[in-house]
This record gives sequence, structure tokens and C-alpha cells, in this order.
Amino acid sequence: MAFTEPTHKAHLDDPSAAMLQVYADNCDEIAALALGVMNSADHGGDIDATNNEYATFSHRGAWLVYQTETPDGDTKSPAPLFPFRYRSEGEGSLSHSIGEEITLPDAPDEGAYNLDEGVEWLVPGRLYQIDNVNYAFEVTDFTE
Amino acid sequence: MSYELPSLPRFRTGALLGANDLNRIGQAQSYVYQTMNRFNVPFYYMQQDQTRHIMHRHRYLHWATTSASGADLEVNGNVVDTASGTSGYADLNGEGIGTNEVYSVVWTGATTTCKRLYEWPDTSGNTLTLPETSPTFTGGTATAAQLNAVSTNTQYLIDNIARRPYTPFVARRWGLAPAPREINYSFRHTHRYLFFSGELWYDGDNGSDTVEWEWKINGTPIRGFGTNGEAGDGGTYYAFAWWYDLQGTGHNDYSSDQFTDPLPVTWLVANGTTLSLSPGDDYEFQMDIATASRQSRLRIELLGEAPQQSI
Repeated sequence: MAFTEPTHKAHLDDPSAAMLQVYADNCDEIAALALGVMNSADHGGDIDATNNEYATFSHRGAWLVYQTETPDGDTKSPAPLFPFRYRSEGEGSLSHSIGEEITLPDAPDEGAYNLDEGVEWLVPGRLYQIDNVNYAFEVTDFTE
Repeated sequence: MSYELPSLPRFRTGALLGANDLNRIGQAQSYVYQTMNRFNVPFYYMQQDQTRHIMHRHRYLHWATTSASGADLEVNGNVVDTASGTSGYADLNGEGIGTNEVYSVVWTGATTTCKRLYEWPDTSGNTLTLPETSPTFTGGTATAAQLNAVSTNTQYLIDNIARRPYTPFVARRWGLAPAPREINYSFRHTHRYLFFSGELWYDGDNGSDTVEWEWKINGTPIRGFGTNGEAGDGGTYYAFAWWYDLQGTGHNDYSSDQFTDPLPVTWLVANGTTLSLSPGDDYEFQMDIATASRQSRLRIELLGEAPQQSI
């Protein structure tokens, strides 16, 4: 069994049993493939650019939920978001940096940034990085 | 742009089955399937007293440690479990954590090394059980109950797969001395191709020291690196970038360096199938550093699995 891309139905299409079975079988197939999609803990707090630490995402979700201040009250530097930088010419040297860096709004408790509205170069699957945050998660939808 | 999902239909006996209803289900299933192609990042091993974060979605918090340490697992300061064995789970119901709330997790009370820490909808920790049995459609009649079962299952997949929070890979830099030492990550095998990107920076006198390590999967060395530190003019770095086929014989390396050694990287296990990894398997990824100069340091830029040979 494999996932079958459902075909688009037109008005007055006569749904056959085989056609409907695709939807049912797809649920089983996706569930069987989903063994690795656990909701994992992060890599630890205080992602700090001065220590050469960066958080890298492969973009899918509309929202970035993050905190720019550690719980003990340390004020962080501004938290930038920028395209993944391929380091190929030695430490500190960068290449492939297409897209403008933005600065995330300060969020000492927690912030939710709409990536779809705020970062025009960010398309699904694109790698990007942030730093100077205590934690960050990307999600498809977010309500407090 | 991210994807917008339509709401899923509910069906009634006697109502006409509309193409739009089926298209909404089909669109949602395609979306969920696509989200499973995301770059799969590993879990960096966690020691006692190190705080991690989880955005709450599921009831059960699963863990695995390298030993039965007796350490306590604390969630927002409350002990929810104890590592009396090497794996287990805690029921988060009753901890007062709301959906989407970010909470802190820490091991306390004893020396311990945690190699997995994640939420899962049930106690299995590795299988996803649909709320409805998938129906079998025959003949010319589909009941509302059958169609609602499909709709309910699809919604379950949206909630538990597509909407799960995504954690980033965090690039970190280590001073490698004193060796030997290990840098450990754990994966749940999801995609075929393993990517590694990183950089060794060597700042000692030319030719005076050596750096040697192996990349290992479940203890098996797949790749080795060694240099005596002979550096050319203008810098002393080695930039690593390679992928490795975990389910085939392919691999590719596009690293670059300023060392004057012969290229010191070798594949020790060129055929990934010999590792016998299946989707859903948990495995350990280790950098086993045998020798390191005092000044050498390494940054792992990116590590993860992808479904194709590019990221």
C-alpha cells in the first residue's frame, strides 16, 4: 500500500467505491508512515550568537513561537531571522545569503510571529536561521 | 506561504455526496502527507539539570535514558516520573498545561543522560492509532458512518501530524580537547538521506597536532576523519558537507579544506543498507573523537534526514 494522491472531483462525478477507498486507505498509510513525527523537546535554551549558536528551521508553518529572554531575566540581544548561511570558506565566512534579515519583535515572555506576513522570501521548505532566543518552535496555527 | 486547510465535512444519511466534500478531504490528506517530508532533525543528548522546552500537544511525555539512573523528570518544577528503568512515559493530564503552552523539562537528583524526550498521543510512543477503523467501500452505496470515519481519521492526522510543533536544529560549537570524547544525537528514522554539515577550525602550529574522529550510527563507524593539522597559508579549516543514503549505496561529499594532507575523509561503510534501519527505528548518531589538538574546535552546522538528495 502507498499513499495515493486523491484526484480532484468535479460536480456530478459519480463516486465509485474504488474512488472512496483511496481516502480510507490513505489514512492508514499516513498513520503507518508517521512513526517519526513525534513532538520532541528542543535542543536546550539560550541559543546565543556570541557562542556561534543558531537555530535552523525548514519552513512549513505560518507561525514562529519564541522567547527572547531567558527565565532568569537576562536581557538578550535583538533576535535576527535570516536565510540559512552555507559556510564554505572558513569560520566566519558566509555564502548564499539571498533574502533580507529581519529582527523579531522583543518577546521576553513569549511571542508569536506570523512568518507568512513578515518574511516574503520564506517559502515552504526553505532553510532559515534565528539566534538570540531562549526557545523557538514553528507551528501551522497558533492560538493562545 | 504556508498552507491553509479547509474544514472537513460531516455527512448525513440521505444527503447527496458532493464533490466539494471529497475534495476537502483529499486536499487535507495531501497536505498532511507533504508535511511528513519535512527535514527530520535529531535530539541532542540531554544531561541532568539541563532545561529543555516542549510546546504541549499530546498527553504522554515519553523518555529514554542511557541507564536506569533514578533521576527525577520534572515538568514545570513538578516531578512526573523517575528513571527507574531506561525508558518510560509520564501522563501530563493533571499538570495544568494548556495546548500550545511551552513548558520546561529537566532531569534532577542524579547523574543521567537522556537520549529521547518527546510527546506522543498514546502510551505506545511509536504507533499512531486512528480513532476510527477505516471502512471498506463496496458496491454503489457509501453510508454516512463510513464517510464520517474517513473524515474523523483525516482530522486526527491533521491534528497529530500536520499541526505538530517543529523544533529547529541548533548549530553549536565545541572545543574538542580533551579527547577522547563523544557528541551524541538520537534520531527516529524517517527519511532516506542523512545530511551533515559542519566545520573544524584548527588554530595550532602547523603539523604539530592531530585531529581524528569517526561518525558512528548505532556504534558502527560509517565515516572517518583524520589530519595531522598541516595547514596551508591563510587559514586552517575543514568545512564538511556530505549526505549518506541510509537505505542504499549512495553518498556524496562536497567538503572543502585548507589542509595540505591528502583528503583525510574516508567512507568506512559505503552501503547504508548494512545498517538495517527501517522507518520508525530509533538510532544513535555519534561523533566519536579519538584525538584532538588543544586549539581545535568543531561546529556542527546542520544534521538531519531528508527524503531527497538535497536540502
